[in-house]
Amino acid sequence: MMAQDAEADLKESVLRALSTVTDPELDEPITELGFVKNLSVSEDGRVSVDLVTSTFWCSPNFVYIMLEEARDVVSKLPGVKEMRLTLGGHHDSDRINGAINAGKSFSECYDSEARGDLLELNRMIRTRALRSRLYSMAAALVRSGLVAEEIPELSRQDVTADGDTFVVNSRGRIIPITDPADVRRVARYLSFLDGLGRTPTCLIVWDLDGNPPPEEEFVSTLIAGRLAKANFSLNAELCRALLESRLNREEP
Amino acid sequence: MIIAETPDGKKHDMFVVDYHFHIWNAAKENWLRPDLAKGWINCFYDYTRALSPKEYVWDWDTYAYYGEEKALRDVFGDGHVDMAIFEPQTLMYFYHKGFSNVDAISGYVTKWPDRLVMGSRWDPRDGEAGKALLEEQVRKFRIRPFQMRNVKLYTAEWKEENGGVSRGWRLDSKEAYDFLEKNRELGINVQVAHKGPTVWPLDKDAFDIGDVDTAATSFPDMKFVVTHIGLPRLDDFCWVATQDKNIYAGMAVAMAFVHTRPRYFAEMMANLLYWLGPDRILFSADYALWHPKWIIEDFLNFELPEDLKKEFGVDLTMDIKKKILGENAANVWGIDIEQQKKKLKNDELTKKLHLEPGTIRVGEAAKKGKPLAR
Repeated sequence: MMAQDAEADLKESVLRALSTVTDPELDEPITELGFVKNLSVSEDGRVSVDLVTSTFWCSPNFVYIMLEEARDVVSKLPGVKEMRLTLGGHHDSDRINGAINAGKSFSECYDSEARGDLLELNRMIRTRALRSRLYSMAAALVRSGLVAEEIPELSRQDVTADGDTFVVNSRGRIIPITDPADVRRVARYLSFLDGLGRTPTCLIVWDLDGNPPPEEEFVSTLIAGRLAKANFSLNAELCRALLESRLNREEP
Repeated sequence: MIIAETPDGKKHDMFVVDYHFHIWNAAKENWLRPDLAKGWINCFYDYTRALSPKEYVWDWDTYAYYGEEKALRDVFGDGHVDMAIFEPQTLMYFYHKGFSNVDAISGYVTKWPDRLVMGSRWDPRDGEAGKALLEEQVRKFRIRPFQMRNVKLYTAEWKEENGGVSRGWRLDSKEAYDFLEKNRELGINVQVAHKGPTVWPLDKDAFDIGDVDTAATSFPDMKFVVTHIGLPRLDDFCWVATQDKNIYAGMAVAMAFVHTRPRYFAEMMANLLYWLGPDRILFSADYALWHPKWIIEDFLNFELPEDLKKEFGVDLTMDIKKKILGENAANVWGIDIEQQKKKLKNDELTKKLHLEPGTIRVGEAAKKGKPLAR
């Protein structure tokens, strides 16, 4: 009985850890996208995760970013002694699985075909995620009664959590954010911002170094963020639809 | 041709040019590397299944190889398309005879040169032999002013090289520029750029359209159509196309959202109209990924939701739909629509397939899509 409880607890903490891993091109958790196909844990701390992506052709580099992150967040959990990831149904499954489980980097996995590791790619895609989340939050703030122009004046400390809601302190007013979808949008941006590991004074940052948007009207910044957001939504919707078809189809 | 009748009683003639049409053969006998060949066609099949109305999904065997006759019937017969532009996708690394190549269609182009438009392809890794082939194709197929004006440039093409595999190339490489010069010399002035999941080197973003941007700036006299509107990089695409006026939005794949995901379709249309305007958006059903009949009918029946009209200050009027369905592509390829209408009225295919313009009443049950909850 004890062993079973321990297994169930471990399984739950592995799932929780995996839920922090996003598909970098979609900015959505792999657990919500349905990429985690199977998860098993043993009482002595061996974890095995089977993953699947929406298509056989997902770009190897983004797949690698996702798998490395999954490997790392699960491996460092207390009680995990061994972690094994298996990506199925991908055009380079064998090669990627071998390299990921051996702890290799992308450039070691593709020594003759890659010129370097994935830092630059990762920064590019995370910057877009930041901007997309920024737009969603700003739209939520405007819906809650702020005007767009006052948003760049806000500091990080002006937005505080209050139970299941947020409170914004702007121009001497206290504005609550209560709609659950909007609360989620604000939370998603703040977790990204706080996760940058620096303490920005400004609420609004435009890149991973914490810089503010370029000198232009905030509204045009938002239009750019909106486009990034539209792109993520479209891609994610397509990937969900493709995966659904894929999992419900017989192989010829 | 399809005639759209609006509630005010007006009739709008829509001459349809599909810029991205395939005839492929992915039957098992053609599989050279079975895992990859199967993985390719199954992925296509998932795209179809994901976005088509159920009644338009064929069984797998038909999908893998449907044949030329069925393609002509579907596209020109039921499908309302007046002219279809062929875009090859050879994939010689996956399939013995290639997936979709010029040979599959050459006989049909010479038979119906006012219906089917020949386009070829090149790969900078093919070197001089590739250029010689292009010259030959221009000699053979430039049988109308609009024939052999385009090449499909699929940068994720895998190719056997030095005993290994090279998984792609870039449009801003010196070798690619040599081919673009060759295109200029041969009057192949439409470059249909298409991104896939791999590129050289593999650590770069394969979907980055920075190389199209560079090439479009270097060859301002040429036109660059970016297939599936740069997805999954729609945002980059819009930035780049805003700057380079010789870049066009190719709606292959993107169109198919219109049926089951109208709100997503609305979002992309609003963005394209806002960033590019109505003159640089080109229709395609991407046959046989999707059947043009339902895509065109749904598109004619589609209206931008009020919130997006207001937010972006754009609209998708009947005149704009007419541009997207045919006029814009006609401008890019140099097709004279009025002349083609006369030619096609009684051409052989019209007789063979008993073609008549269909009429669709639009605006009564228009698709819109509500704002997304996410």
